Parts: sequence; C-alpha cells; structure tokens
Amino acid sequence: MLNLDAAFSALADPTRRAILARLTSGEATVMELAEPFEMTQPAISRHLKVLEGAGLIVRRVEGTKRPCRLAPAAITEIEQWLGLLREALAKNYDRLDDVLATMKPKPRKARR
Amino acid sequence: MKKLILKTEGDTHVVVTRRFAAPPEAVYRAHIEPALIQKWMLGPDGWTMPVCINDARPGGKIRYECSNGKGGGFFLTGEFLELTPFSRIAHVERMHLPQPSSQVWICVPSDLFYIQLLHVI
Repeated sequence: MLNLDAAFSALADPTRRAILARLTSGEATVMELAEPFEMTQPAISRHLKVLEGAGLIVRRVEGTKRPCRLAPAAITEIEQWLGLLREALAKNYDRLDDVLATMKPKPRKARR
Repeated sequence: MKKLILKTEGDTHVVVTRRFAAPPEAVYRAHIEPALIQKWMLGPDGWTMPVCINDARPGGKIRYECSNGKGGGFFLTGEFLELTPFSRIAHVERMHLPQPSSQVWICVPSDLFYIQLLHVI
C-alpha cells in the first residue's frame, strides 16, 4: 500500500532514488545494489527498509539472500502514481484555499 | 473542503479539475508569485520549498526545490510557454525522480470558481 508521506520521504534521498532506478532493470540483492555506491551493505539495508516501509519495494527470500524488486504497486504503475498525484494535489489545493482566503480584502468595520 | 476531480484522457493526459472560492486574478497570482507558491505547492505536510524561481513570461525559467525538513528533498525545473493573465498558464516541468518526466500544465481559471489542469505525461 502506497502512503503519500512515506513515499515522498522515501524519494527525498538521492541514494534511494538511485536504488529505485536500478530496480527498474530488474531484481537485485543488497550486495548488487551496494556495489555502485561507496556505502556499506548495512547502510544500503537501512535505505531498503525505508523503501519497503513506503511500499515501493518488496523482498523475497532466496537462501541467505533477500533480493529486492519494485513493488507491483510501485511508482511504475500508473494507477498508484495517479493516487499519489491526487493526494498531493488535494493537499496542495486545500492549502491554496487558505492562501486565497488571506488574499481577500478584509471587510471594513461598520462606523458607529 | 472542495472536491478535486482527477481523470485520465487517453494514455498521456491527466485532467485535474478543482474549484476555488476566489477570483481568477487571485488564483492566477497564487500560481505565479514565488512568495505565494511557497505557501501551498508543497506536497505532504511538513515539507517546505526553500527555493522558488518562477520567471513568469514565455521562456522564463522555473525551479522549485522542495525539502522534507530532514535533509532530504527533490527539485523540479522547467520553463513557461505562454501566459494569459488571468486565464491561462502553460509551462513545462520536469520532476527529477528515478524516471524524470516532462509535463505541461495548462491552467485555465475560466470563471470565478473553476480551475482545470491538463497534465501531459
């Protein structure tokens, strides 16, 4: 299940964005994902935990390895992307309602 | 709370419709002036837009940098195509995510309360 706040937070990190980009080419293990970065496997694992928590990747078990792939309902799916877009726009426009209200000229107080 | 309507048209267009209780001039200004944009075009709660470059004329540059308040964020860049105060804005924006996308938003506040955005993927 994609969650707007978690997905935005997950995407706010350049390493996590690069991991997602790599996974568009197919499944990968932690070792394979860590390879292009000057980062330890535990550090990569922490990023994977964030991506998994946001519903962007899924992992399976293969012996001692836990290969990752993009979640079926990940950002490559149009429907889920539209859901994210809808949520983000709804929040933005609710905020815009408030901004527009502050732009209204204030009514003048009646003179007594 | 006003209702947001989001529909797809074919494979490449998303049409977003949202009404505002405000005059077109105000809605238009809120999409053009950086100080106003920075107050609402933020995504989830807790995010800010520390950088908002919005050169509102044909060919003018757009750059929005969004921060999650915890050291992370992303940015989008683009340029304006055409502007017609106070009824229409067309621009291109590219969000720099794993799959960068080019989008054209055409904003048409056509009466007091109405805004429609065409989003080309």
